[in-house]
Amino acid sequence: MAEINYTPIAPGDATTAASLNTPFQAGVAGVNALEPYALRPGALRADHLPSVANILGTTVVGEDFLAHGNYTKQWDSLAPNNDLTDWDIVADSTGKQLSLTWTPFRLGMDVAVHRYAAILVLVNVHYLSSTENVIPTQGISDAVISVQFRQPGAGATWWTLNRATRLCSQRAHRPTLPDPVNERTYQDIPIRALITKDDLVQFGGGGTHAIDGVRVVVAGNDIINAPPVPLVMLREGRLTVLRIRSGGLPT
Amino acid sequence: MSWKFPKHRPRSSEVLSSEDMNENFLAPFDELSGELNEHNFLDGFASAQGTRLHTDAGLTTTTTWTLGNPTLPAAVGSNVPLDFTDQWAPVLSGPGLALPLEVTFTSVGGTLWILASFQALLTMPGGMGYNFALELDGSVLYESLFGGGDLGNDLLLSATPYTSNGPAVEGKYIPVVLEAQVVVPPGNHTVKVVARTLRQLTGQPQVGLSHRELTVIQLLR
Repeated sequence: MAEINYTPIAPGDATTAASLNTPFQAGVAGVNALEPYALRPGALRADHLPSVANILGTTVVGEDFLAHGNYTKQWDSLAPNNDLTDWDIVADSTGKQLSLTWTPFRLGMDVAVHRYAAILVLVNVHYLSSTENVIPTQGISDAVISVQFRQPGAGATWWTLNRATRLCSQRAHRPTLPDPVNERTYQDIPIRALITKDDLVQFGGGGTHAIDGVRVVVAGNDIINAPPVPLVMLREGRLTVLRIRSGGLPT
Repeated sequence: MSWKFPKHRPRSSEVLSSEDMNENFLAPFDELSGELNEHNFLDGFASAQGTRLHTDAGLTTTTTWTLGNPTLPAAVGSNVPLDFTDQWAPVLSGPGLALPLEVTFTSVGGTLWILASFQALLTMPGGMGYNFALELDGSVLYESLFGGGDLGNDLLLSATPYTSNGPAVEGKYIPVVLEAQVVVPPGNHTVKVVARTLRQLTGQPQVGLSHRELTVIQLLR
């Protein structure tokens, strides 16, 4: 809200150009000093904003529905924060990765260079199975899927969005009759996450609040057995990223 | 802020009244100290100069999330246990418990896109599994039901050690997403994630949620 101090014109005051202009100047100064929150929530609509959300991109791996992966990283719940120490990038047999990158932009709308309030990440990965020494592990292994985002202002590091980490238990149909070919979990692993400026700040790259990529990573987790790490097999994976605009367009 | 027009329009050769002039100035100045709305901006103004707008000026998003720990039991740390009831119950509110998966917000009315994404911990041998759904202002949104035997999401043929004897989902670790789009009138609204088991059991302390996130996007266009 603007704070405009208007000095009333008193009876008997001499009316001059200056005395008439002064109130207008106060009004001009007040309008120019409008704070971002001067607009009430939801004030801007279709007439003002050409698009309130747009798709940054969507990508699919494993469209052939062939099993891919053999991911071998062991999920480490204690240190899953960055890069690929404990993760593999979800990718199909052609090498295509479940990843989107773009020209960096900043999250948040509180300074002039910020353009978008958040990005909405939608992930679905088809979990096929986990195996140890080829034989299905019949419910004691998990696939672990998570979302990583990249901050160009923080050494181009990929950071794991910990709250988006999802474990899915391997479940064999016939546990007493292992069948490496036919025993499959066949389950969708869905993730939805809204990434805001606050998420960037917590990883130390908050100075610019810039983001330029999102990818999906995978690891294995064995809740009973010691290594060898279970091999996670996936099929189709989909990643879509929407920009949520609360304000104007990039210039 | 509403539209404002001068209350007094001076005419040629008219003697200016200081009181009239003050009223002309004060009305719009007072309004500027309130909250501006769509009537105060030209069509497309933000297309040319998209700067310095507050987060909720366009699309309004309301979100809450909690970082749990899927390696811990359901009632430990920031994880939340589920009620063992065959009636829909929120996840979870009460003294001493972690933050519930719930948001309350004010809407100008319109379409909401509600998304909940969480890690379920459903070690419940011999049970019937769990259903999850979104609840808006006390009404369960059945279009968001998870665990209703939808073959797109739910595996019905699992066996030991994580047995499910019914259509609901069960397993040591189950990733869940609930989504719905609904139209709401203006006012305050509350969205919750609710859960129920298909058969009430006792003594099953390992059922709950760890990582969890709930987002409501008001689609104002």
